[in-house]
Amino acid sequence: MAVRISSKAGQGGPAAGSFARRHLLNGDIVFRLVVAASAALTIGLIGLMVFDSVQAAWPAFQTFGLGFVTGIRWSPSFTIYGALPFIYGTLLTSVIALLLAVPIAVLIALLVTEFLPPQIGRPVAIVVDLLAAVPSVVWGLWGLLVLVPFIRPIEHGVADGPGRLIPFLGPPTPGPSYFVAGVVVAVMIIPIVAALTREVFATTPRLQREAVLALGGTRWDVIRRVVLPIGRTGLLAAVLLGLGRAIGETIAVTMVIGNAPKIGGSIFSPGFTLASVIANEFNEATEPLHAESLVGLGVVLLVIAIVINGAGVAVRRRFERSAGRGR
Amino acid sequence: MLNGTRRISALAVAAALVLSACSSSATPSPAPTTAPQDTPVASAPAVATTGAATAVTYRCTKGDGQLNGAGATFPFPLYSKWGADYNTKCGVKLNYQSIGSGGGVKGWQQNTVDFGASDAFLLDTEITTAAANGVPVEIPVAFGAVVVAYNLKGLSAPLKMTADIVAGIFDGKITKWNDAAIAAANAGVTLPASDISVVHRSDGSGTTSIFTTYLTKASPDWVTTVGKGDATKSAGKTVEWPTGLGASGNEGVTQGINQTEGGVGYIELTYALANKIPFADVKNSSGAFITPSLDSVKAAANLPTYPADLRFNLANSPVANGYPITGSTWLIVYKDLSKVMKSQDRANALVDFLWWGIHEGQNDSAALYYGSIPAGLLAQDEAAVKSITWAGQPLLP
Repeated sequence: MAVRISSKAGQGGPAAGSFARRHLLNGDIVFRLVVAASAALTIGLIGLMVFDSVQAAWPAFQTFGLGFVTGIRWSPSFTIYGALPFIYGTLLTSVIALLLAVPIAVLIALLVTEFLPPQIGRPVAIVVDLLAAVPSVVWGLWGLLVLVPFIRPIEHGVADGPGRLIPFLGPPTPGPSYFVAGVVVAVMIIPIVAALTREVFATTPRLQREAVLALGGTRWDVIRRVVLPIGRTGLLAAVLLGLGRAIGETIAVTMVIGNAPKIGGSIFSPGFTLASVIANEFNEATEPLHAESLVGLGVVLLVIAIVINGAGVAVRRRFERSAGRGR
Repeated sequence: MLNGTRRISALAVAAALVLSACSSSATPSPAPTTAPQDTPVASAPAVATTGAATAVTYRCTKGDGQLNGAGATFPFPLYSKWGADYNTKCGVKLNYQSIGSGGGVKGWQQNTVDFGASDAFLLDTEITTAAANGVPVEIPVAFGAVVVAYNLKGLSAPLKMTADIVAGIFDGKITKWNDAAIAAANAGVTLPASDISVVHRSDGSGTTSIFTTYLTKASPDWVTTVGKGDATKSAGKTVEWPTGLGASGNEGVTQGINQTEGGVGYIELTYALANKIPFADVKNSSGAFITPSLDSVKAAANLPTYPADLRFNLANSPVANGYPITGSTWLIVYKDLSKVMKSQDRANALVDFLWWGIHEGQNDSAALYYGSIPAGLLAQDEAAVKSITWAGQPLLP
């Protein structure tokens, strides 16, 4: 973009005068410097953060090696730090949240863009967006005071009935659990995913919709053959953003997950996530290597986020390539 | 017994009044005299002895007009009341950050605060870490109980628990409320067959430290199960819990207990009283089941002797009527303030505040359910504050 502007300025004619007038006074170089500086600052900050975190966590990595990631015991009193229960908890609650949130969010987006007339669809969209403005600690309180007592009998029913035969659905069911945390996070990410997918669906080319309808297709055909295929890249981006929030969600999860540092055999077991263990233990991390290990958990969380985002970029590229071939 | 004799004497007084004055209009009824019984009796001896031993005057050195402290959350309500009262009296502002005992010790070690506050006395290693700044003076200023609170319906009286029962519940060996061990200690009580649902702290906490220190002292089984035989691992601000849910803060645990039928957890006495959660009577070292209360906390803190460095532990207190799960909280300052403070004026402000805290500040304790400094300890606390110097010169006369 900057190139185009400067070339235009260059065409301004020989009368444009001195170098300074052409390049400095029109703000070109200044703007370029500002842009470059902010980019460098952002990248530099991320780099510094990664460097500082890894450095602060280094004693823990050095002591436990790969065991820091694969260890299943987290015991500050015994100076044993294994992060696997928290990695498991983070991934499990995020997967539960996505499984619940994405279908609902996509359906809301379809409802608003495809079925409701704008004068009704817009207020619905605004109400859904408002959910995103609720602070996470409020969701946590709601989860603890309302959702846990509500879900507990359901958990009991499932765990003591069919759950005895199906893995991951069995007892014990004390109330706070991976499942409740997943539900709370799902409610929190629905508005984000819904808003983004709504934008994506709204940009579906009108001609293609009308083509399907002209060929005798139903609304369902429009959604299935046009809206969803064209919007899948955007949908993926929306899911990834939701996942990003799900992985990092801290306080609401802490309040409903039960904070037990072990790998629960059921989705109804209490557990712990990377973010919530950091929030819980950092204040009083006075045992040897405790603070270092908590920072280490932060590094693990960062790596998970990078891997997921990287995977998202790769998948999107493949989609785009196949879409390009299809044309 | 006390009530009985009081009532008799009150009746006698009333009778005498009726006889002598021949008027029955203003006779005091005996009932109200029993109600506010514990507060005046409790604070009276401390005040009396201080009055007798040393004339308590407060210099109110202004210093920089403020003092900074950080540490334990457990005494935070007390210290914030102190802050308000001391500011009114002497015009010195107290900034206390309740960031946890660990943070308080760190702040003291790194000299980022004027005083640290901790629910545990300093470990030897913590003292050596700060050796460059000097040696500490540790002053115990308040005492509190941690109670075993539960959510069971249909019980008319508090459950009775021994150390082995408490340990068994929290290490996962006792899983039902009608367990034989609980039934044996509570003869005649119909216990439900429901599951026990344990709630413990998920954050590091002085409350956990008081609770687990008690269990470590009183139950060998706890040391074996939780500490794998090592008593230093079965007591502390965090331990490796074999069972239960974790919740953050006293309020989190309180919520967890309230919400679960059959729930049990350990919280500070204040929280149990404020939320009206029933709590257990616990058997102490002399074999009596003691109800946690301000009086039984004070009794537990009233040791026959205290060590010279004031690093003592009240868990499983040897005092006959003391509640066994009792802890104390310390203020921690450097002995020679000239190394760590910029001005002697500020050092004077600090020792004046400490002096006020162990005397007049103690009057704030009872209303907030903290045990105040027992008479036998006060002289040693005074000596500790007086031992604080500026380059070897005592700051207090």
